[in-house]
Amino acid sequence: MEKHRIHKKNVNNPAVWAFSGPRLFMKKERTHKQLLYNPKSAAWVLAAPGLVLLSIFVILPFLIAIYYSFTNRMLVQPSSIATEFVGFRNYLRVFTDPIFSESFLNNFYFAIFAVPIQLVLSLLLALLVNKKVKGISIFRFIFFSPAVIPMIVIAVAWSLLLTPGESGLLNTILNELTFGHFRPLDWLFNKNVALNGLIVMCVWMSVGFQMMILLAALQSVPQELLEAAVLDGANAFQRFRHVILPELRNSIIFLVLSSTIGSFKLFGQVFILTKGGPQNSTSTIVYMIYEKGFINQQLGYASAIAVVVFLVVGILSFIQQRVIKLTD
Amino acid sequence: MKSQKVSRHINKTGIYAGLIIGAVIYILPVLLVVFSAFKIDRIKLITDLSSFNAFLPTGKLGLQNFIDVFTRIDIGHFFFNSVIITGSTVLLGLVVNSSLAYSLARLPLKGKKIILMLIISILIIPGEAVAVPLLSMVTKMGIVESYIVQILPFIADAFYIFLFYQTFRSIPKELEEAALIDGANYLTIFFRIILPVCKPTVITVAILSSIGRWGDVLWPTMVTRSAEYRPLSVGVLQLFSTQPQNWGNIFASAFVMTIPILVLFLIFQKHFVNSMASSSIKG
Repeated sequence: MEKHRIHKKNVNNPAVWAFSGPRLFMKKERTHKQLLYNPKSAAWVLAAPGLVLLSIFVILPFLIAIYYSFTNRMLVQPSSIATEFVGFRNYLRVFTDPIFSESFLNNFYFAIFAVPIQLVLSLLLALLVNKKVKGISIFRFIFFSPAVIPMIVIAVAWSLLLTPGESGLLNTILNELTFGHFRPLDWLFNKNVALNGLIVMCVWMSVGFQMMILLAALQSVPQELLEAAVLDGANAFQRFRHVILPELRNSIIFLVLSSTIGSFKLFGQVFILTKGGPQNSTSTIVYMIYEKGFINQQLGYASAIAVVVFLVVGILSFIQQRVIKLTD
Repeated sequence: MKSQKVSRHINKTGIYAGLIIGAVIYILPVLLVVFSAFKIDRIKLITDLSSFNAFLPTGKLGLQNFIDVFTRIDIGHFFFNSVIITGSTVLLGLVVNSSLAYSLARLPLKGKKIILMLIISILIIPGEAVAVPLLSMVTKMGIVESYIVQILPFIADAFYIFLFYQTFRSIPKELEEAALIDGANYLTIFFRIILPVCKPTVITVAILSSIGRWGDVLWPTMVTRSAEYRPLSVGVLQLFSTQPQNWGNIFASAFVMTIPILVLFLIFQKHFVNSMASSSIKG
């Protein structure tokens, strides 16, 4: 009886025909239910909401940005000024704007210093938390915690740590640790140091996350390999250099490339803590989009910067894909 | 034999030393926020902030800062807004992103390759880069100053679609086939069979998008002008950037803002960390 019922249901189920050869009924009224049984129409039903939302709220604004980048459009267009095409004038301005080149160099500087420091520290932490000692999961959580604390809260704490002068917390700590040899820095208030202050905070924030990824890779290193290396008389450093490191290669490449890309997308920390200052010393290319577009209302110019950012990040991502494919 | 034992002992001490030094560096800023939130003597709180006392529960402790932020600046309303905005975005996002990903990964969707390429290129666009054009768009649509303007644009997200896509591709086809033979339609199969199997990814996406939405400050600053629809993140940012800073209020509201995400994370920690690590390596 039960078998019969299922069989009968199948007859009306085009999805099953698709899997089981010739169709029994070619024409059938399309009811609401039918739509969900046919794999082709079900595919559209399931995909539609996402596709519509992505088109309206991501693709469309991006296309609008491309269009605006060729105009003199303002965010709130004054009625006395008409929107006009200005050709490549905005792009010309991007490449001749000293603030843009300064911002771009800031991103570059950030990538050059933050990426390797993050990698080395997270590798060290990953090796440490890979040890099977008591309470290790608590330590893992502590190191990972900045990933789940809202950035604004982290920024509040770090703004105090980075307080300038003798009374600044980080200055006091570093001074004590070096027995008075550390000269207090003005961190976020000195244009020669501010970017370094941001790097310190960003490294602190992202090391734990990278550690988790490396930890997962470490745990997949075959135990036999390590044991064989011990039997061969390899010391801890040799084991790390010749057994563990090669196994971590793919994860390390992934982390280096994605944090490089992240360096060129840097925004939140700048937005909350420094607003690009002092004297543009912490401005980044993404921050410039906000500053020019929202604060200065120059939507056309900001859009041109956005397109350039897209190209920069796009090229980096393309390189990433290539490198990952090559190493696979 | 004995020397091996001794060296192992030294080794273990070294490991703990390293772990504890690292942990101190990570715990200090957290202690700073937590203890300061409970310090009720205003002057003591500020003087503490320039010495090691910042990391210690010194002076008089109490709940006055919390009472202040809830009664004087109505942080509760900001909190409520954040819950509405984050909650709806995350829940709708889970449904929308996972179904699109399922369609891409397992169903004969027309133009699949093009859509997939499009989604991968969307991954490149930093959200902040399109925020200003998006703002001019939603202004024209007349939806600024609302919950909807803070929810709708963030439901569909290329990154989460991609995470789901990778997961769905790795589950065996037999699961669906068996259900099809039992007469289930694709919607039922997806929600009743596929999604429950992919629970770790669902949890990962839920946590990641909760963190992202809960903490976002840029978009809500751009689209809200009054306290009515403002989320907690902007509330904290406002307190933080108002001079002179009232640190008691800042710390208490920062504390309130951190707890929900932290609790969410602690509940689902295991699934989250495992699947996050494995999916990011594949990605």
